[in-house]
Parts: sequence; structure tokens; C-alpha cells
Amino acid sequence: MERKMTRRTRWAGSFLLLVFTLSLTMSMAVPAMASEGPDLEMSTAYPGVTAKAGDSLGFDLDFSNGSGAGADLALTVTDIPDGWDGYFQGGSSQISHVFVRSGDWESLASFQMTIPVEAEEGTYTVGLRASGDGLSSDLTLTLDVSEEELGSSSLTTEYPEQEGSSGTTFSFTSTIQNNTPSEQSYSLAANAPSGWVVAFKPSGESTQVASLTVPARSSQGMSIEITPPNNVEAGEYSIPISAISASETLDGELTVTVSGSYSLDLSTPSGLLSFDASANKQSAVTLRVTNTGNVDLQNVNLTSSAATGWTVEYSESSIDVLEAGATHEVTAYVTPSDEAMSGDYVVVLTASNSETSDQAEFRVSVKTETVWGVVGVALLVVIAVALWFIFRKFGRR
Amino acid sequence: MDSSEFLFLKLFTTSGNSIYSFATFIAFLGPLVGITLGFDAINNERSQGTLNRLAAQPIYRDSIINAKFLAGATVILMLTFTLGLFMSGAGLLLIGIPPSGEEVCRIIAYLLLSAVYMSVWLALAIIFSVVCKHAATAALASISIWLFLSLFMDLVASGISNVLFPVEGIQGYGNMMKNYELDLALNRISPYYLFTEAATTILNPSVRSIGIVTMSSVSGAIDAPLPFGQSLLLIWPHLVVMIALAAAGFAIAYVSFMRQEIRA
Repeated sequence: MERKMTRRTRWAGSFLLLVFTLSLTMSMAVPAMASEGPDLEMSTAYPGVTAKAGDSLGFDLDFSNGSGAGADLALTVTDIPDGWDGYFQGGSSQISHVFVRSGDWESLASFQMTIPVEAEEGTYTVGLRASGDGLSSDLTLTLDVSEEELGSSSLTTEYPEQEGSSGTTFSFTSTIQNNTPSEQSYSLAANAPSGWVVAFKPSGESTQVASLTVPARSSQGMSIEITPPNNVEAGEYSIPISAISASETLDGELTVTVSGSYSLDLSTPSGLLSFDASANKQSAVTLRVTNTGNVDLQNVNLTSSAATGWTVEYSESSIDVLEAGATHEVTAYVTPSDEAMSGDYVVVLTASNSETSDQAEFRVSVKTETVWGVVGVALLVVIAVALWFIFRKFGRR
Repeated sequence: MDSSEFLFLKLFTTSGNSIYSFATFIAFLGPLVGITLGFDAINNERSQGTLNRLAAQPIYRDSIINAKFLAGATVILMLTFTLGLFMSGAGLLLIGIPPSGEEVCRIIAYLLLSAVYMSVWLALAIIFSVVCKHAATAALASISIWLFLSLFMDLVASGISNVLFPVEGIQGYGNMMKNYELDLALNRISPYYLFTEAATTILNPSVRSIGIVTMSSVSGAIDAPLPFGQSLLLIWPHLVVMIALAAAGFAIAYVSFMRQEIRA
């Protein structure tokens, strides 16, 4: 009986050990059950990306090694569109293998890729593979390439239509956008009417240039200064501009509206602004009225501002139409006051219409009449004659 | 007027604190030169008894009175030009600025004017020397006329014009112009006043009018000096009047001398 008991106790002990072992095994087996499937996984956080042609992209690669041992993995690109280029990078060097120890590793390596500028719009896939030591993992990147910009270089102007009076320098701000994959040298030209001056200057510089070099896929700003001739007529002028490089021609058009400018000039044919006059006697002065603006002037009135008692009359007090650039001669008759002293006086003659006016300041030298001088001489003669008579009558005795 | 212009002329017109200007001296004391040279021209000869001897010489009688006047006038001319040139020379040494051509013309015209002015007084003095028996009487008569015309004519002129055209009260405003005109006309009887006016005009080119300057003649006027010819035209009447005065004075002296009994 005692022996039987001992055998039963041993059996029970071994059963308990089994249960314990089992339960231990079970508890260890739970994490192992979770990583069911591949022992190695290569992944990236954002496998789908939208990009533009010419962009450079970088994908951080995360690794998860469930094999329980470190693995030396070879990295390969399994699928990439023609002409595309990509490489793996770790630290700062290009790599071909990565050693992944057991466990999870974030951003252990990265995949660098450049989308060629020639890439057409569309969806592309790139396949990557990490394999080695019996483990292997594939990763597929999806690239949505959009907005193809190649070949559409442009010449744009911020405010292509400007307005101003003649004599204004019109300044346009233009930009050349070179969208070609290579550096371009653009020669600049403008087809302006004769007499107009067009100057091209790079933004922020005062140097006048004939050509501009724009690096690939970048832009260069420039200012275009257009100076119309002084006597330009009012109106709208369009000036085609072009930037021509070896491979392309960029066109633009600038519009300049020259507004009417009203300007008069009042002078004399000799330019002399002084004349002699005598008190209460009329003196004639020839005046020259010139329309120096670019618009015909209507009803130009001639007026004067003179001292009290002076009168100024014109051969015609008003000019009906004075065409742009035309000159008209008018005679002014100035009569000084009868109380005017000898010496200089100022008389202001004005030509004006509703738009503009000009005045000429005349210096009038009033001269004393020499008649009284002659009278004085005559008096002296009378005195001499009287003395002679006295000598004749009373003298020589 | 810009003070830097016609600087040389200022030598003649600028007065100091205690001393009168050259022009004032000539105007006031110039008559004394004429009076000194003429007051005893005839009566001194007469009182010394030399006139008879002179008339006994084989010369015409009018040569005596002619010579008396012409000698005096020549001395006066030499005197004024000596004074003027001396003044200019001293001024040239002191200020070192040479006179411009126009300034030279003005100075010469002024000196000629001064000579004529003194000759007027010479003629007056000769009249008295012919008319008065004693030289002292002639001198006192000449000096009293000189003092009256130089100092008191101004008072008399303003007195008369103020009586005829009073400027007080409401009607005074209406009389103001007439009062001034009469005052000016009476003053111009005096050779002293005539000479002062003419000298100021010829020595100061910015003087543009002699007489009344109204607001309407000033309006629009530019402050600019007159050319020499214009200044001369302004004072031409003064010069003519002074020559006429001298000639008339000489004629009176001549006639009265020729009609006098000199053998007594």
C-alpha cells in the first residue's frame, strides 16, 4: 500500500511539472503568435506621395525583424520607371546593405529618388526589396506626378498697361521664367516707334542690359523703362517686347497710353523781354505764342497785368485754335501811364486758356521825352541871342 | 538800389556824423565863392579910383565888365574841377575802386553844374558891385540874398502854401496835392533848391523823378538805376534855368555898368 502511494505521488508530481512547463511555454508563446507571417518587414510611413516632375523625394525606411536574430539584408530596387533614378542612403553615405538587428527600427535607412523633369503626368510605382539570411520584404511606393511644367517658359509683366503724360518714363516690371532644364541666355528686344527709348535693367540694378541669363527652372525679374519722345502725340501705343534664347522665343506686349499735355510758351521772336517806351506813348511788341504741348489748344486768351494807368492792347486778344507745336505771332501795344517816371517798369503779359497758361515778364524802360531837352537848347539859344542884342545895343562905346 | 553799385559816387554824397557831404558843402558854401569873387568887382575899382585909369586905356568899356565876369567864371570852373578831382583822387587812394565810365560822366556833369551854380551867384554879386557904391553894401546885400534863398526860402514857401492851401481838417486832404505843388514851385525860385535837386539826381542814379511821385507812378516800377542820359534829361531844365539866371544876372550888370557914369 505504501509503495502504491509513493508511485501515485511521483506521477502527480510529474503532472504538475508538465502543467507548469506548459503554462510557462504558453505564456512565452503569446508574443510569438502575434508576429505570425513574415519575420522581416520593411515599411515607410507615407508610401503614397504626390510630386512634381523634377522633384527630389526621400522616403525613410522602417524595419521590423521578428526572426529573433540579426539579419544582413541586401537592398535592391526591383521596379522603377525608365529614366528614373534612386538610391539608398544610410547616415550620409549611399548604401547597398543594411544590418537589421532583432526588433523594430525606425528610419534606419532612406530611399532617395529624383523624378526626371521629363516625367509625364501620371501614377508611377517604385518597388523596393530587402532580402538576405532567408528573410525578405517588399515595399511599393506610389508616386502621383502632376502639373507638368516643362517647356513653358514665360515672359510676364505685372502691369502691362500704363498711362502718363509725355515726358514721363514708364517703368514696367517683367519676369522671365525659364522652365527648361537648362540655363538660357535671353536677348531682349523691343519694337518701339522711332524716337522712343527702351531700357532693360535687371531688378534692383541700374545697369542697362541687352541680354539676361536665367538658370534652369528659375526666374529673373527685370524692369523695362520706356521713355516717349517729348513731342509725342497723345494716344495709345503698344510696344511688343521679346526675349529670344537659342531654343525659344518669349513674347510680350506693353501698352503705353500717353495722355494729353497742355503747355504754352509766350516769348518774343528774339527772346528779348525788354523794350523802351515813353510816358503816354504806344509801343508795339511782337509776341510769339507757341503750343509746346501735344494737344491742340482752343481759345488762347491774351491778357496783361500792368501798373495803374498803363494800357495793353493786342492785335488779337484771343487765338481760336493753336495746333500742337504751332507758333502764332501777336502784337501787343503797350502804353505807359502819363504819370510814369523815367526808368524801368515791369509789365506781365499772359497767354492762357482753360488748360494751361504762360506769362512773360517784360521790363519796360520809360524814357523821358527828348522834346523838353530840345526846348531847353532852344531856350539857351534865345538867351545867347538876347545877350548878343544887349552887346550890340550897349557895347563897344 | 544795390549799394555796391555806383560806389564812387557815394564819395560825393555820403555825410559823416559831424561833417556834411561834399555835395552839401558845394550847395551851401559854393555861393560864397561866387559872392567873394564878384562883390567888389566894380565898386572897389571905383572907390580906389582905378576905374578911371582903366577906362582911359585903349580898350572898350564893356571889356571891363566882360573881363570881370569871365575871370570870375574861369576861377570858379578851375576851383570846382580842382576840388572834384582832388576829391576823386583822394577817394581813389582810400577806397581803391576806380570809377566806371558812367560815374566819371556823372561827376563831370555834377562839377559843370556846380560851376554854373556858382556863376549865378557871381553874376548876382557883380550886379551889386555895379549898383552899390560901397563894397561892404554889395557884400551884405549878396549875403543876405544868399542866406534868404538858402535858409529861409523853405520856410517862406511852406508858409505861403500852407496859408493858401491849408492841410488841416477835412478839406486838407483835398489841398494836400496843391499845397505840395505850390511849395515845390516856390522853393524852385531858389537856385539853392534847384542845385540840390539837380545834384541829387545826377549823383544818385536811383532817383527817377524830381517832383511829385504818386502811388500810380510807383506801381509796377522796378528798383533800377537810371542811365546817365535819362538822369541828364531829368535835370536839363534845372541846368537851363541856372544858365539863364547867370546870363540874366550878367546882362543886368552889363547894362547897368554900360549906362553908368564912371568918370565922376
